Amino acid sequence: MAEFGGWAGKVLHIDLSTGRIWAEDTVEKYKDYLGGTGIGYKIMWDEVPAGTKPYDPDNRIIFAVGPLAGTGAPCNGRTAVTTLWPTCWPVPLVASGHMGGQFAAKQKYAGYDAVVIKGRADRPVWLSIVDKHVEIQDARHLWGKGIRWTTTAISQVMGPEAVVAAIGQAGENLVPMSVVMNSVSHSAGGIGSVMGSKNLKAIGIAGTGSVRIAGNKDEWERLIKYHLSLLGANNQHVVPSSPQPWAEFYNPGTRWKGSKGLAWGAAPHPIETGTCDPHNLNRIAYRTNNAAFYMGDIAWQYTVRGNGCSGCPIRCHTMIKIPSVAAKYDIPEVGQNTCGGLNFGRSFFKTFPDGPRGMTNMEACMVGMHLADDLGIWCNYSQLQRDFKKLYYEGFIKNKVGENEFKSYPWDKYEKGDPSFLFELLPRIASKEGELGSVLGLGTGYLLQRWSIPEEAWRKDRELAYWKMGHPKHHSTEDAGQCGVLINLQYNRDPQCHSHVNFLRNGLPLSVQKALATEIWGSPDAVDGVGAYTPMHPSKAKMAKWSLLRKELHDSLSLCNWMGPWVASPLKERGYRGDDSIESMLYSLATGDRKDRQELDHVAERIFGLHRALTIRDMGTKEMRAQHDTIPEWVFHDPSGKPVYTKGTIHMDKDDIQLAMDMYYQEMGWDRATGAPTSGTYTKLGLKEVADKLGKMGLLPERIGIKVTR
Amino acid sequence: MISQSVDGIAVKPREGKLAIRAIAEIIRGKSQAGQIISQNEIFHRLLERGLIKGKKEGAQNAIENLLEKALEENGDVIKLHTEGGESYFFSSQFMSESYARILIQERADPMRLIAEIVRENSAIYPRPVPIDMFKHLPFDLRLEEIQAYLAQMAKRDDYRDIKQTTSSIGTVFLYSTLHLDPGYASMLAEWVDVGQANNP
Repeated sequence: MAEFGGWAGKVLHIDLSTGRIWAEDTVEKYKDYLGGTGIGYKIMWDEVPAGTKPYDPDNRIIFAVGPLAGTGAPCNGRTAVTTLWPTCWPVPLVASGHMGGQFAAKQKYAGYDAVVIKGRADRPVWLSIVDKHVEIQDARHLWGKGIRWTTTAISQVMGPEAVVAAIGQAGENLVPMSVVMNSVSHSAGGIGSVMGSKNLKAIGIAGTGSVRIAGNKDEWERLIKYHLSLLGANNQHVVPSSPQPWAEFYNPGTRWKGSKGLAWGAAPHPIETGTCDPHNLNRIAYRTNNAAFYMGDIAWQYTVRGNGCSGCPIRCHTMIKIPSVAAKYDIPEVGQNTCGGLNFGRSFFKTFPDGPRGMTNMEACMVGMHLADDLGIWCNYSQLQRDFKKLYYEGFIKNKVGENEFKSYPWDKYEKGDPSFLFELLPRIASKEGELGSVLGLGTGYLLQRWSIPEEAWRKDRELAYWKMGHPKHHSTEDAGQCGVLINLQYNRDPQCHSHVNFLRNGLPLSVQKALATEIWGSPDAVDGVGAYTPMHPSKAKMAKWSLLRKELHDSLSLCNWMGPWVASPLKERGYRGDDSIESMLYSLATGDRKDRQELDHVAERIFGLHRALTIRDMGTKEMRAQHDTIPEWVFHDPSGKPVYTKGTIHMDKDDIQLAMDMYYQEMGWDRATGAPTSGTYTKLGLKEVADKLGKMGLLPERIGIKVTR
Repeated sequence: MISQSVDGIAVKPREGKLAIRAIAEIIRGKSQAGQIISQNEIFHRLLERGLIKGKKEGAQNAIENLLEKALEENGDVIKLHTEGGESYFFSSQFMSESYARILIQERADPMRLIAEIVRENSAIYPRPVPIDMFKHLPFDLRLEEIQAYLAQMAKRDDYRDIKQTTSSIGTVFLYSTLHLDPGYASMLAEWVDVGQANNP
């Protein structure tokens, strides 16, 4: 067999029930699935039968990375974690979480493309992985401790080069809304309790190896520089948020915040971010300040620097330092996050005494990050916060919990926007204390079930952003009209797909976006201005397919889908074009397995097809259109009553969405009536044995969809 | 790239070629520092260095010829006019035309600059503009100045398209009714100020 670069070469298996540890060859068995979610879905298909539950010993947790992890490729620091999802309602199905930080690179340097864990230890354990030396260690002294203490304790044993991925008390207590966290602040949501069910407290990993690049090293270096030249700021926003001397365009809504006069005020010496000319590849890290993006300009004085994942130049994980919170709340004065943590305050509290972008909001974010990141609580893309607000303000909590328990909470603090309220609530969620603490940790679907609240109540409420199966939307109609709806139908949790929104929010004028869209998806009608949507068009279905396939590709290669694809760039001399072949160029050169863009997208389609097959198998139905790909009612209503396709509204038309689904299924080669892939499609994707198995189970569509035109 | 500072140009005998080269370097230096330069300022720089001599009136004629030659020989050096006829220069190596126009208009007529920026944003992106943007570089206006300009605009027919909308968290945005209707502008303001952060 040809020797490939990129891959570390081994998939590590650990059976916590028996203590058995073994490895198999990555390329031999998994090359056609690349890595990351590809390996995850393949193992779940092969080894975890339908009907398995998330906390069953037979469930797997698969920490997998791709051939680009640990290389010099920009934005390669992601680990995909695949398992049966405990918050997926009403039936647990396969889903993936993703974590950044330093874990992915370390796993590759240790020699592993994936770490697959099954079984259940008979006592709390942690895994020590140092190259070929893999040991199951006693974790009884770590059990009951927070993530930070655990990380420190294991680091003291393994040394400062080790990276630790740990769960907190929430995961130990089998709270479904829990995370695994590596490098102290980089989390993968939804995983914590699955690890807890296996009595697995943490994984410590260190490696002395490296990643071999198969191709010519000079060519690799040139490709890296080329990729760097196309980078924007976080989320591939390619336009600065304020006018800059070098820039033709600017957009106050982008994450490209760096500018002359704006400095990291809490650095040891204030560091000016400057104009950040995109031709200076040494200034990429100064472009993004996510603390300022979420919290407002007040955050600049508290910004230490941009932090982030291994080898990524974007540094989107902003570190802030607020000394006053240490004294006021007895918490560390430093916090860091990219997203939800920096928005925790406004998403949780309805109001603050000093407004939504004042100091109190910042304090609430610091307290929220401190508690949630140490206890290991998952917010489910802020669904926890939105649910909590509705449950409180509409009287559900008062009606459903006992009087004594209700009175034990300082509700006046919550209503006033006092961050100290979080000390009362979050630890109770982590320990399942009381009815409220228990129900909030279940996830939305099981919460509604337990409190006998009809799901319809959540599906009608636009403010809740709830979509289906216990999870929220993630970049749907508010960003991308029909394309956003299609993307949100596909997964068993929120889709975590950013391919489309990275493009749509990149900051370029609509005319430039439409010109690029014509090149990428065949028509300017693929994109609309936000809130200025037009009827469905085949190019929108192409954009949806492209978005989803690239997301799977990134999750399988280890590229960050919060940054890619790179189809736009900040370079006027390129007409703001990026390069839609970046992924295939990196893959080909790193591995030596030459594939062009279409060929690599075909592999991504195979991986995505396997996810669809897993969902069909484990739901026990081929009726995906009716039973899985469902849309909440709020999508079709506008509070102001504006008609659809008028400017200023984002709501959709039901018939138009049905047409969108027809067009999308046709793009995918799925049966129009059922939304299930056909036997021919599975075979085309190299999944014939999947088709055969589903066929025997009666889970293939019986007829082919008719070609759709408008 | 030009790494010498403008002040570092040596004083040379008054030869046309040196003066043309100095003009290009002066313009590039200013652009690299994020600034534009007027014809008058170039004139004084050359005068200081003795690259132009003679009576002021004659020197003014000489510099116009030199500037024309500098433009011909240096493709990155660009000249823009104000409506009042004043000329400004920048280098496209270091500065975009749109940025240069902001700097020029800021000197000439800040109130009109605000309106042009609002109209341009409303047309091409399209979106309303937060009023606070004009407090920061390159506009660098005080809030009182901005509010005074807006008060003046409200009284003039030629600015009647400039309107305000406020997001749910109190941020004031400006938009032009030439390109955005009030409902759409309001929705976009809410999206930029609240929606994008709530949908990270």
